[in-house]
Amino acid sequence: MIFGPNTLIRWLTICGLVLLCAQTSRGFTLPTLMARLAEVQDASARFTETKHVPILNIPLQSSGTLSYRAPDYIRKTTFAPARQNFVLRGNIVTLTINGKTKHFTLSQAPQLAGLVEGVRATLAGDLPTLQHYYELSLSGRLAHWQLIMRPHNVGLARINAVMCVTGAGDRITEIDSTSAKGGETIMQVDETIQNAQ
Amino acid sequence: MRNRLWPVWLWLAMMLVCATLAARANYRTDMGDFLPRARSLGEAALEAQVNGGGAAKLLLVAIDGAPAQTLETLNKKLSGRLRKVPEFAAVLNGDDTSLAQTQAFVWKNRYLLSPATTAQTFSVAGLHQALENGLALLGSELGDMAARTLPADPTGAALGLAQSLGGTTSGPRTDNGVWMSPGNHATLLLLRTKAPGFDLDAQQRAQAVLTRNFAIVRADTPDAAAARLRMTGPGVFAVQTRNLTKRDVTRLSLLASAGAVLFLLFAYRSLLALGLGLLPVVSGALTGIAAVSLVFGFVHAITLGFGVTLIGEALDYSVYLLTQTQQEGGARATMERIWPTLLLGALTSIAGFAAMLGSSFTGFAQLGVFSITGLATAACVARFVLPLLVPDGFFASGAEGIGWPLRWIQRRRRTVRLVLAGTACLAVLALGLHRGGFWQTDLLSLSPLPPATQALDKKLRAELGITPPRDFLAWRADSEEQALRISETLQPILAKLVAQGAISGFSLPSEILPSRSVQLARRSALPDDATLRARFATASSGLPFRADAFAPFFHDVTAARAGPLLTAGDLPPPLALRLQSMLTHTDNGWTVLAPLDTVKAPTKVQAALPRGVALVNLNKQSALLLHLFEQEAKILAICGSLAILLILAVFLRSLQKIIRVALPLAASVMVAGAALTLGDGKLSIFMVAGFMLIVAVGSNYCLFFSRWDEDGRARERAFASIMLANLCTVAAYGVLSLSFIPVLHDIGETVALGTFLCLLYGAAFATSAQSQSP
Repeated sequence: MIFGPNTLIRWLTICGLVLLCAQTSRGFTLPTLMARLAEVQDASARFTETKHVPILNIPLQSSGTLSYRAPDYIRKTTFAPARQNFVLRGNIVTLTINGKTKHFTLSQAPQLAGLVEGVRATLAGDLPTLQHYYELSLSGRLAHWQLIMRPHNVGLARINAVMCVTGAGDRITEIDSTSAKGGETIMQVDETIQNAQ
Repeated sequence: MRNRLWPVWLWLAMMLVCATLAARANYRTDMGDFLPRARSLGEAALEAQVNGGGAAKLLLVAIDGAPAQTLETLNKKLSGRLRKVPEFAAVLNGDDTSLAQTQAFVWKNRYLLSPATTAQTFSVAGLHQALENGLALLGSELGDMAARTLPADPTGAALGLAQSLGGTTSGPRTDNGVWMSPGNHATLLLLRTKAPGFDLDAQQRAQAVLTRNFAIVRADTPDAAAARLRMTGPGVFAVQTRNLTKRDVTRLSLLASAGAVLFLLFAYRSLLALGLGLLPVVSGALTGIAAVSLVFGFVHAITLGFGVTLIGEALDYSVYLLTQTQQEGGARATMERIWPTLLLGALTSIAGFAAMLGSSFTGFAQLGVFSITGLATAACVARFVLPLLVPDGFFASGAEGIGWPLRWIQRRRRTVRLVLAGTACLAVLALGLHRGGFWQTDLLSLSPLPPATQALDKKLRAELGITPPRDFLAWRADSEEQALRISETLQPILAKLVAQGAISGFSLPSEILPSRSVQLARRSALPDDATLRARFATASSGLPFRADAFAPFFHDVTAARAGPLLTAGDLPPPLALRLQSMLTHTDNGWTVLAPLDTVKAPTKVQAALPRGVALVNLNKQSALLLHLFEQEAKILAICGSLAILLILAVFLRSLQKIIRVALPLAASVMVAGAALTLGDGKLSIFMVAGFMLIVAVGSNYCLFFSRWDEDGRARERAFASIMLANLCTVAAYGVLSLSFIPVLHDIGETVALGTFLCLLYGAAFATSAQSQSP
């Protein structure tokens, strides 16, 4: 057999992507999507996250709420399995884990900066920033799009090999990131709570 | 003949000895050596800071003038080249390799460095807690990073250290592996030289290497033609200051001596006489250096500079002799005649300078020794050697008419006296009404650097996040180990103060290098492999970790148990420099300076500290030092004046004569002081030396003016000699006042103005009534 099962799957995926790209409506480009995303001033959502970590026997499940306020405020609060809080305001990160709060600036954690900026720039529709950190490829149509982001920076790529954001219109529905060490995180976003704080 | 010339031989022999001593003397330039011997902890702190430990080796670099991407390329290429040259101990530019060495060191020695290495941490309960925390961390935003470190470091030893040893709290933004200024206008580098900050030649070489490498890098980078490199830092400042001073000193002192030489040549009409005239002052300087070197063991560069100024009076000695030498009798007879006046002049100056001997400023004390021995020697050379060397029949034919302005003052004495007295009254009034202190308290204004350079330094420091700390904890210890142990006892106290909000942060040397005893305790807290594995198995039961995930952890703990303890020599350069900047080894032990971030409640901090540890604010400390300086300058002035009056009283034995000499002198000093502090003017510390010279030189003028036993012709020559001496002084120091270097400008201005006033007041008030008629 010329094709192993893995190669076959990859082949099918490529075919699927080609088909998907063919369906990409004319005029649906990165700037168009970004412009739509940039119009969102305020958004809140519930999320469920499944994390596959190589050193664990089972995937980690968590859920909580996300909120975003243009241009640069993001909060992720996890309720289950334990309360955690992650707030990004401007350049300052406040992280509460195990009841302890840490503050640091993005410049102190350049690798994390790339990761966080990726998500935030997508939300804000900030194309220049996004392109600064990532190589971008967009597929689909406005009603259902997928943005694949590969970091330029080697250090960032070591942590986060590829990130895939799926969305519908101006809403993001799923963020899937794969780490170089084989870990994978899938976050499903359900944008139902409008304008909740 | 041989018998008669013995003073010359003795002098030559002495000069030979002094020149040898001067050539072998130990010259120092550290500002710290000029300051008072540190007694309090605060003074020790200031001294350590002034002498500049690690901080003095910093070079702050910004590259701008090109698009951001070009700047990134330039930065990377330049850093790569600089890391290969021997001049720099550290090249930091925000890339991973800058940090890699430190990170590797912290990672490898995490169990010795971490305060969390305790028996509790390695118990079953401790390990279980650590694994639970690890699980929570895996689920957080830091999960990807935690997944990489957890297998080798489940207790999080390195994670805790990354925060205390990770470096600055507010560093610049890193972009594609290099530091960028806000707005991407410039890319930044932070360099540390291998050579100490005070080794200015080495600093200059390092700066040249930087500039040269930048030029090479710019040449082979496209679009970089307009890029420019700018640097600041203590070393850059010091080199710039030295070069500015050198340029001004060579240019201006050439000009200054040219003026004086022209006057002297005009008067003497003899090159030999011009050369002979230098003998007293040169002899004085050589003896001065030799004496200071013998008494103190070293000569400070500042002593040398100011000292030569102070004994400038000795130049006048030869002017008096050579100008007053008459055709009949020759130089020896003239010296016999003027010696009493010259001796009294020298004695008054020596008495004035003697007050400096008691100063707590090492520099002042050195100046005292230098000027006293220098002047004594110069006077002796003028008295015993110079007359023997002046050729028979020498006559300063050009000096004939030089004294006419003084004769003019004599003729209109009444009017001139009225004007001068009025001016003096106004001066006293102005001094009395002067608001604010008389002294310059802003140390920056004494810096010769242009404001633009100082502004650039401030900006780069803010962007690189290395604003020098102002508040320190200071303590002394007999050994490095003791210094570190004290540091460890302070750790919990400071952590509590941070929690209470009294301070916002701190750095301690024991965070970088724990004491041996603490390291031993931590090492023995690590369990052996079998125990650790057994405890770990119990601790992880019920948690979803894979059984084989933690092999690196067991390996590393076993390695740490068998590994050696850390010493200062093991630290990577960035950490070694941070430790060095906190620990200073002095002759009598160790002084420690631990920086504190923003002290909000000083009294609370002070109250929490144990005995022997002091809270030091460097701003306050340097203000205190300036205040001490001011106090001493006042006391020196009062003691010096009293000593001068005493000497005059002993020799002149007449109240009228004393007043005649002292009053014009006092008036000149008052008017000069008032003129210099007019408006918002302040006196700088450099002017102190200027005032001393005014009194030293001016007292000679007044003494010569007040001679009452001379005939008309001798008087004429005396006037000419005073006039010539003052012309030379005003010409030389007047040119110095054109300099932009504060020290040169201040001294030049003070001396030129003051001695000219002494000439005027002396001519008007010191001359004896007997010979009023022309």
